[in-house]
Amino acid sequence: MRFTQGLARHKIALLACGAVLCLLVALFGLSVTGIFKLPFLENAVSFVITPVQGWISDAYISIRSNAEKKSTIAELNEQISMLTERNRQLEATVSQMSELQKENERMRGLLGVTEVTPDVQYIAASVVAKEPGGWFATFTVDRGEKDGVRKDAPVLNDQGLVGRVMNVTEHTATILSIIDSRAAVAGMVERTRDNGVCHGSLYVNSSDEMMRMNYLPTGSELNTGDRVITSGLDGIYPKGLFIGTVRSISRQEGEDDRYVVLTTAVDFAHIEDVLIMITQEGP
Amino acid sequence: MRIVVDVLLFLPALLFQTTLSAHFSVRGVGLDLVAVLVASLSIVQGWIWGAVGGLLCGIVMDCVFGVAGYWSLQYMLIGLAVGLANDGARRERWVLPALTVFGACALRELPVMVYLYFVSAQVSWGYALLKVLAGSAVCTAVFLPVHWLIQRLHRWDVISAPSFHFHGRKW
Repeated sequence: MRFTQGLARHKIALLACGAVLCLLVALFGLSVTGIFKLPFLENAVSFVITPVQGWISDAYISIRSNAEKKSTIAELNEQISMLTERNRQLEATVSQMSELQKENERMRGLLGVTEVTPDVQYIAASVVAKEPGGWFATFTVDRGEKDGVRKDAPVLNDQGLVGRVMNVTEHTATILSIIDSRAAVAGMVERTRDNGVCHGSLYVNSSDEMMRMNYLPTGSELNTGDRVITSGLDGIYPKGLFIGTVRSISRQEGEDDRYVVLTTAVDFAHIEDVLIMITQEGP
Repeated sequence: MRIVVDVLLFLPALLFQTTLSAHFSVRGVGLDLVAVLVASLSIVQGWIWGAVGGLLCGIVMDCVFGVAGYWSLQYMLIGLAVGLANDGARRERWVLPALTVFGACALRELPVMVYLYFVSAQVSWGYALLKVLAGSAVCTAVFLPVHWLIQRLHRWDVISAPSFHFHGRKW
């Protein structure tokens, strides 16, 4: 009764609100399809708010890292000796790979194959805002068009592939991460060379699943722990970027719905800094 | 004065929501402080204020995340629904506000779910249900103490002095 009285009292205001809601639905639809943008407003808001967000994020990261500093000197010494050993192994691998690269170049020269590796450059960016809604896995970084960031540029960090640039303003860029339920990446199992498509996923299960790889060939024999890399077939991500490892395999003989669950290489819960590829001539 | 106080309340909430909120969420379920504030102020100040305040906060969030209409639609829906449902209700009552906040928080997820359904996003019904129910429950739980504080704040003489009249109402 009270509700209907309220409606009758403010008919015009209600009609205006209804019209605005309809407009917002239309804007949302046009915006997610990329037809409509608010470049001026986005630039203005990001110019004002991004530095403040940067300070807050830095403060939070600093507090969290201080709280996590519980390692004793003995543990640190153990880590140093382990890392020194790891460094030696990596140096040996790099030296071996350098030899292989030279051999590869010689062979290419003999066969007359043109070098196709593009000239890739990276821009470091800090995460200043994360989408809080839970439906989407996007975040905002403090680099934009003025730094040379372009739409669809691949984004990675020291652990592996993070995603791609979805939207870019003058000072900021919004990154669509590979675990977003709308994202898809052409992937390849490194060991078997089987191709598939990796999707971000939102499922409720015990394994806290974030990513699946679908459309694998029928005869592929995968093992848990197999590395999955980008295949370059989607035309967005270059070949060879580390996506994640196979966690579990859901496939049986004759089963139509065959997929593998992946553990992403990147720890998306604690992502702080990323690298944006700014020059890429294709996979 | 009321508007100044409300803007001062919204600024830290918006900054928290865009920067820190995602760090404290578990599988996408977390606190939406802006939604809580919009709902509370919409009861205290009226549904028009709730709808307009929600719309403005949403526009800022849309600009930060680069999707026009997404957050503004959600916050305006919350402000409008909670404000209308509680229009003229006695302020001492808590059950109706709590129920309407829960309902509005669940209702605002509907456009997103429709969108995700049409783009064939890999989202299970189980996750969607858990997200909607748990997210709304968290917001309702936080709403009750926040609303109590905001009611106290708005009864304070300095703040409750109206700034101007609009639509037959003191603002």
